Amino acid sequence: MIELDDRLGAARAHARDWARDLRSTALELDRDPDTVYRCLDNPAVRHLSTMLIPAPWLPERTLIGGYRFDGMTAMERVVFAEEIAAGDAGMMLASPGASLSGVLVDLLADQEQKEWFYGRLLAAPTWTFFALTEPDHGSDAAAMGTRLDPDGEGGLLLRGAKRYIGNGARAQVGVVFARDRPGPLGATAVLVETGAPGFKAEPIPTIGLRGAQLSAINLDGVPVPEGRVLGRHLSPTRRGVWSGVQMFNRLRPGVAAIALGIARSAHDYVTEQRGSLSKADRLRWERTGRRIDGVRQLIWRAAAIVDAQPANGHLASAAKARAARLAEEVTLEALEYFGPGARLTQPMLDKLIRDARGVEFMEGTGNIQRLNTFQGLVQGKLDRD
Amino acid sequence: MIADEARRSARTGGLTATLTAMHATLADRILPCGPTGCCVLPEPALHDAGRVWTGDTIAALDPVAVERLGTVETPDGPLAAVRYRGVPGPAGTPAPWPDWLAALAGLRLGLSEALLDATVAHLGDRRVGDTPLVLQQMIKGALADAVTEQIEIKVRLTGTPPPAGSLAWLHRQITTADRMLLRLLGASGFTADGPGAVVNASELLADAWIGGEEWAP
Ligand SMILES: Cc1cc2nc3c(=O)[nH]c(=O)nc-3n(C[C@H](O)[C@H](O)[C@H](O)COP(=O)(O)OP(=O)(O)OC[C@H]3O[C@@H](n4cnc5c(N)ncnc54)[C@H](O)[C@@H]3O)c2cc1C
Repeated sequence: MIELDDRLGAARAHARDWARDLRSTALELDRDPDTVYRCLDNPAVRHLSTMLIPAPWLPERTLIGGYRFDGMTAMERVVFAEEIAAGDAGMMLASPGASLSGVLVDLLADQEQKEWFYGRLLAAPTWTFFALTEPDHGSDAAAMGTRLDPDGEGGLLLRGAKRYIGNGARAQVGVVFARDRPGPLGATAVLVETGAPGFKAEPIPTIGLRGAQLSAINLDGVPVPEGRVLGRHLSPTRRGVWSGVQMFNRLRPGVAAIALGIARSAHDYVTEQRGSLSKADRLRWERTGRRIDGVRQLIWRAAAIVDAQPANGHLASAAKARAARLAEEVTLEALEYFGPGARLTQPMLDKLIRDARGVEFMEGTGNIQRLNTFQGLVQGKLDRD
Repeated sequence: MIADEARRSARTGGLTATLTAMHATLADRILPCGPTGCCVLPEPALHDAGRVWTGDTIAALDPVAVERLGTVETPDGPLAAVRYRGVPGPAGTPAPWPDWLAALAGLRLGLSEALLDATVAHLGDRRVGDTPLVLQQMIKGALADAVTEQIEIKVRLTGTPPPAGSLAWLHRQITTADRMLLRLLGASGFTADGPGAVVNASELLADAWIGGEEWAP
């Protein structure tokens, strides 16, 4: 069994306190994604807004329980993500900060790009987006159609469309993946400002996780200066697919932890709201609690592996698929402890059920994760000794 | 309306039309509330209700006891969700509960079948490399699982309606089949104007009348 050290234990305890506050705004954010603008002083939101800004750019970071946390390891991210998502997964995704783009910037950006990106984030609460998925190409990112072409005057132009992009409509900066040459390896990520000409983003209303404000982005000849091409100092292979794989491996345990947080929240909800359970029901619910604990261990192990070997994300895939399914099953099971109409009369439970459905698609669907896990199995990378 | 009629109607005509038709078959513009008083109906079906199901029997309706809970969004427009808080009247005619729950299962299964059709079409249009997604083996397997689930439910709903306890289970099984299909739709099943919204409404209907297994009448 993995146990947290003092530092991560402190992170967990603090984040658990913050999560209580998030519950009070969860339904409001679900109705109106703009609620996040009124929550910028919430400690969880403040923490998320400076996560993934490395120490050299923010040496005087606020201490939490005597420690500093910058979110640079997957292990740290999963501990915070579970707790914050147990408060409100919507707010976890609605918050300003480097978020998904931050991992890529850390991996690929040169000094000047980092200064530019972190500078923006430190100056004011800044929302970022991360645009890979396209209307016709979700899981099959290699078939991406968005193009990055020379403009003939030393700069570049982006043309294409992206879809289901978290925070797309409220972000100031973000990363767009585009094709700069033919073939499956011909992909590049560029930093883009949403105020640039030709950039248009519109929210897509969703069933759950509404705080994430998924958006459709249209890129109609958006100018991109050469200096905004991430990894321009690296070889084309290293800045393309190689970085994508590493980045997704690092992110995946955190997405798994969001699903875990939703499952935990539903479990806590039943315990808090449904005081007197029969013995059989209590035993059944305790068993579900142990399943949640098991998946948490799997996620922690996956995070530790990714931190030690970023190229090995196979266990992270297994954990993500397992956690997304757990969130759906536990939220539906929670309903069985209440009478008919619980989804209508207990809006928080209803929200958890809707939110749980969304994690399946974030950072790769269940099938894609299973294919990754299988690769890990046949390549002997699953740590089965 | 019997389960199979509701199924066929929902598969082709959708949720709102079928629920309206189901309600129209009840005598006296009755408000058919579940065991905790919850009810989801198209707005017009709520008007001029004179009688109500509370618990197992039918009673006179006290209009001030009808509390609005909100709306259930569907692509055909919102349904009204209400809760009846009136005291049950003296024991009267028994409410036709099992028939309603069976028809509701038929309706939900019909929606699930329409979802399967939509999912197969969607996966036929999407590609991985040069191959349509629907030809990927994992997808074929998942579709086979979902259709097997649906056929089992359909067999159980055909002929004599199953007892209420089994109906509670069937409703859960429909939710399971729907969730299998939703995963295959990718994020397009998670948008408010897409097929996932119908599934959400379908789950809410089941919950209003039969949610919480041990509460089944
Ligand atoms: C809440 C939320 C947040 C998101 N945030 C972002 C974001 O910030 N940025 C971003 O770029 N995208 C984001 N997405 C989009 C997400 O990455 C995609 O939804 C996901 O990649 C799946 O793509 P798709 O929806 O097009 O489904 P598809 O790829 O069309 O998949 C449909 C079905 O086919 C299956 N499938 C696909 N390929 C195969 C295969 N080879 N073998 C077997 N089965 C297969 C899938 O598992 C799925 O069940 C977000 C989505 C959600 C719901």
